[in-house]
Amino acid sequence: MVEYAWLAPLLPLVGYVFLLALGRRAPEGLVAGISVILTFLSFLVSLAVFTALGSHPDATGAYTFRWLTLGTHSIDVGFQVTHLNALMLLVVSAVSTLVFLFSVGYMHKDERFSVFYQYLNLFVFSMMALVISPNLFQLYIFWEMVGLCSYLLIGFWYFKPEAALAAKKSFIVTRLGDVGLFIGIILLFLSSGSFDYSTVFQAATSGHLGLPWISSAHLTTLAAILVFTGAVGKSAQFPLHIWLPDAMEGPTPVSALIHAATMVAAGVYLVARTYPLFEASGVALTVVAWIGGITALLGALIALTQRDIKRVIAYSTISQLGYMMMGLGVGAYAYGMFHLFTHAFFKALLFLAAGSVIHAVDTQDLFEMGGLGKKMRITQWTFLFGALALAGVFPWAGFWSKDSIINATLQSGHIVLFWFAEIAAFCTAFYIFRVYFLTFHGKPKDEAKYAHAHEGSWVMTVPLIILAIMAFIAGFFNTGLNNYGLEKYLMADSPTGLIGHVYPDNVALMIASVALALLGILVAALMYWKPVISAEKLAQSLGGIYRLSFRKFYLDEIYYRLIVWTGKLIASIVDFFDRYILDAIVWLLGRAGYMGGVGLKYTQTGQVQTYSVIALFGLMILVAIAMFHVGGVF
Amino acid sequence: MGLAFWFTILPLIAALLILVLPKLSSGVYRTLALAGGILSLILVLVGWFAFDGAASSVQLAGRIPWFTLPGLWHGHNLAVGLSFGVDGLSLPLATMTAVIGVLSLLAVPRDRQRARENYFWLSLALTGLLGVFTSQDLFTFLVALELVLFAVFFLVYLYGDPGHKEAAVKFLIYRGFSTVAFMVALVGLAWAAAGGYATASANAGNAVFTFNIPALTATLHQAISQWLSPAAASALFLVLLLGVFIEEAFVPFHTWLPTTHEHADPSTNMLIGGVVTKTGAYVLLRFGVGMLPGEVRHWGVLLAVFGVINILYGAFAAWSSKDWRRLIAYSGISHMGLVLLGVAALNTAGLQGAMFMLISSGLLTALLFFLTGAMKDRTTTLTIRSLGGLSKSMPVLSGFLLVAALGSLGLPLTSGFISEIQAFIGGFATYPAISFVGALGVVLSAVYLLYAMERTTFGPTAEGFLKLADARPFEYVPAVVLTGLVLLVGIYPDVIGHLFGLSAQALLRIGG
Repeated sequence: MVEYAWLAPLLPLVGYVFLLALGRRAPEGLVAGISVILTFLSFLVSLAVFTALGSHPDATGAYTFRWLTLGTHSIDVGFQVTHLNALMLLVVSAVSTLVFLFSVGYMHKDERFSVFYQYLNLFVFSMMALVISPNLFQLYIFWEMVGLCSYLLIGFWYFKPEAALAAKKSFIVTRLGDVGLFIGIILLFLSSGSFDYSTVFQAATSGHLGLPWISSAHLTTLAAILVFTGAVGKSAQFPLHIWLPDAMEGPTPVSALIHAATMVAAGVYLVARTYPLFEASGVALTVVAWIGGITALLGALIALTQRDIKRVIAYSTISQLGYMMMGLGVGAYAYGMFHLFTHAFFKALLFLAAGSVIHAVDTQDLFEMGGLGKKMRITQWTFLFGALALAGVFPWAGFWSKDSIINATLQSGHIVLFWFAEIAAFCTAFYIFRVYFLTFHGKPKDEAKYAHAHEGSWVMTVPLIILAIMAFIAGFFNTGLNNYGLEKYLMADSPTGLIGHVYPDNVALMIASVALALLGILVAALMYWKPVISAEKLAQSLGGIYRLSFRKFYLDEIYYRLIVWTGKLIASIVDFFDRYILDAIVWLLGRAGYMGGVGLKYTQTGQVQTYSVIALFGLMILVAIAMFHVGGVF
Repeated sequence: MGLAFWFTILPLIAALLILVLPKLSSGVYRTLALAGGILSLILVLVGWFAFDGAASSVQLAGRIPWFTLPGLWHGHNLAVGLSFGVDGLSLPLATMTAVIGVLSLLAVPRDRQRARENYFWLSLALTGLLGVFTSQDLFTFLVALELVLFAVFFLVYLYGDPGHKEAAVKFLIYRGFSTVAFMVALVGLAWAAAGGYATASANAGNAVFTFNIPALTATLHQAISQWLSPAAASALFLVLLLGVFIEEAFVPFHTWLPTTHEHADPSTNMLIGGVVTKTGAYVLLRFGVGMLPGEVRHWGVLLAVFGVINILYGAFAAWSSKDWRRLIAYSGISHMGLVLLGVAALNTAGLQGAMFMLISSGLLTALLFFLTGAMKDRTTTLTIRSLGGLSKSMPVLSGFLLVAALGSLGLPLTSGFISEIQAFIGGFATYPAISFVGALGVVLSAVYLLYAMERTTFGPTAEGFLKLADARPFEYVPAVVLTGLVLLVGIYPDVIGHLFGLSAQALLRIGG
């Protein structure tokens, strides 16, 4: 089965081409039908690959053919299936199928319904092709392609200025990171002579990655950090996280699929895929851990105070991706990927449930909602499942995966990061239940919107229910109950059977974490369900700290002043130099020629015929001089 | 007679017919010019089948003798003629020229005033440009270059927005200087080769003076090492380089390009941006790397630094451009800076990347000028700030414009990416620090192009733009052909890669 893994990305590509051929006015039913069926088939292929690999762990391999010759080297394209890739295939295709179904209801009657599905199909193809790339070159190609799809889908409602700005911002900010990745893979290619993962890893671990101007150890670190820069951009890690909240301008199913479950996780996947490189350089791994830890905390702190339901969940995504990075950074390879797996389901669930709410009340402001639980039972309950999973309450999915990362952070001796993670965990429980209570409980704040609210049709509720089930059970894929199956599955990629480290469960820590989560939920309940504590008064008494969180630590403003202004300043200086200095010199030279009565005056007469005759004569004279000079020398 | 001769000369024949025919309706001239261009393109495509891609030699060659200068060199005669042929470097460039040439003929408005001159000069320019890439003889090369100079001058002088006459004069003065520089440098090279040949002990007593380019390429490196003083070699190279800089609109000799583009007609702009601004880089590859590789190596740091300056300067200037045409002009300068970096690297990847970039930048620039021209027909302006929301009324043109912009910013699976990464691989191998700085251009290109896109096709649609018509059937031809080629090169780069690879290696072999 593994040799047919290419079918998984091919099916959505077929869907894309088909929809393109049908044109932008194709009927909704046909468009949606084709797309949902093809992604579902793609999911079945992925499932078959995943299980086939489980029973024959050594069946992984690369299937490539030559694409372009570069001197003595060749660049190949093809596909490779490892256990890591197979897991990613499964996650991507499963979430895609559900989002495709949900969108049938959500995008109903949109003028560009068909275009929406075109972009989504193109995205799923690119994402899967990224995941099964056999080398860094192909990975980069599809890395940019998923970025393109993200750009197109954020800007899907192109007539909204905010959407247009957000699309541009997302592309440019991630591109800042991508340049690092670009340079990183070039350096790896130059030093190892290949883009293939295995060749690069071999060179890195055996210390043969040097270039004339840099030693192997330093190049390994440099390249790993450059590759990580790409991951920072894509996975919205600090300091390049600022694009993700703005990306919420896109349709909500896009936020669920691309900006929560799959594409933004590509950065985490990239670090996992190139893990031997990071392991060969201790420094790079430490950088990953710290960036991840800082991001986890920062995202959670900002999410505490946001008013827009999607933005809260977006900052939550940033924070959770930070957990995954931190897990990888402290050596907990399997736990990082485990969290990616569970997070994909419960975060997609939260976004789709939020989408269901937005669809019903047509607002994203939490303070215009309230009391929706009575009208939207399914949405309320599924959202609750997602929130419990995110908060890390036993035995929901997030509990298992997040706790294993926190445990690994503590056991590997990263005390500061451990506290970051615990504080973030408390905030997580608080902010997600703040959203839950504000949305589904209490009194409706806006009667008109409330009156019009209703549950969506089955195409929207079925995906919610399936994801809610996954949010409950996904954690059991890697517990003592199944002998840590997922972890063993992933480790099979290494000939030694071990990548990074694993740690025994720590029951005391588990209890503490759950207690922390429950405390967060309790505080949220006391503020927004049964208002014992006044949120306004608390915000006032906290003053500056509250504003810091609400204004997102002013990072957008700082970057704008620092980077955008500098760039624009340089651009204006160049423009000024170009117009008023260079061209002025040219003009002066022209005048000087005129004053001297040399040829240039003919250009001023406008008599082009005269000029052309003179130029032709000039040419002849020069040729003659050149030739006679040659003859005369000897 | 070889194919290369015929496909180069066909547009000239069409031009001459247009000139001698009595006054007819403009449709006849259009048909004649298109017939010449399309026949030429067909012959070029036939050339792909006749061409042996495994050999790096000159093929499909044809020559007509013209006159002989007797006893020019120690009693040796210099036979001057028109000589054409293609190798792995010329063939893709000639193909691109023929394609863009035909498409810019198509882009000439049907209701054009003074249509006869337009088609005449455009056909003439096409022969000149094809000739530049297929010349196998210095004389032929210089004649072709002169032809381009005058034909394009008249195209800018006769048609365009207010200010185009002044722009045409600027174009003529600048490129006139570069032609003179080429003339001096190239004749100097022929002289150096002859001197070296005569003094070589094996050839004692024999004198040979030749303008034949492959022969010069083969003999020159020996002459330079044994006969020409290093200072003289450097002087020759620097004169050649000066010509390249002016011809290619490299900073600081670039100001003619934005001025010209801003005022010229879209069809002229397609030809200038697509092909005319690629001849200088071709000279650098053919005569610089091909004949003076030691000098390219010697001045490598200078070339690389100027390459990066051009990448960044072009990008920043594009960022502050207020008009789409100036933006495209500076974007082209930025692209060509990367060509300079790739050449400076003097390795297979760098040279191959530079060659790819010539094709890629040519196709994309022509596409951008075509599309913006089509938009200007409708909106009457290309000032970026006064556009907006064009996706609403013209989704098809906006879609093509987006593809062109994404190609220009180097998105994978377009020609822009594969050119960029090869040039940078070459650059990082030889000049890592300089290339690091240059890589900033990858971000900047996204900044200025997406900024322009956001202001043009995204956002609310102005009242006046709501009723504008989308692409007309005949407008699909240039858009689809150019987009198709951009994607073809991006998705299957080996289509030109195997030819460029051999050419790059042949050039490097000469360099020792």
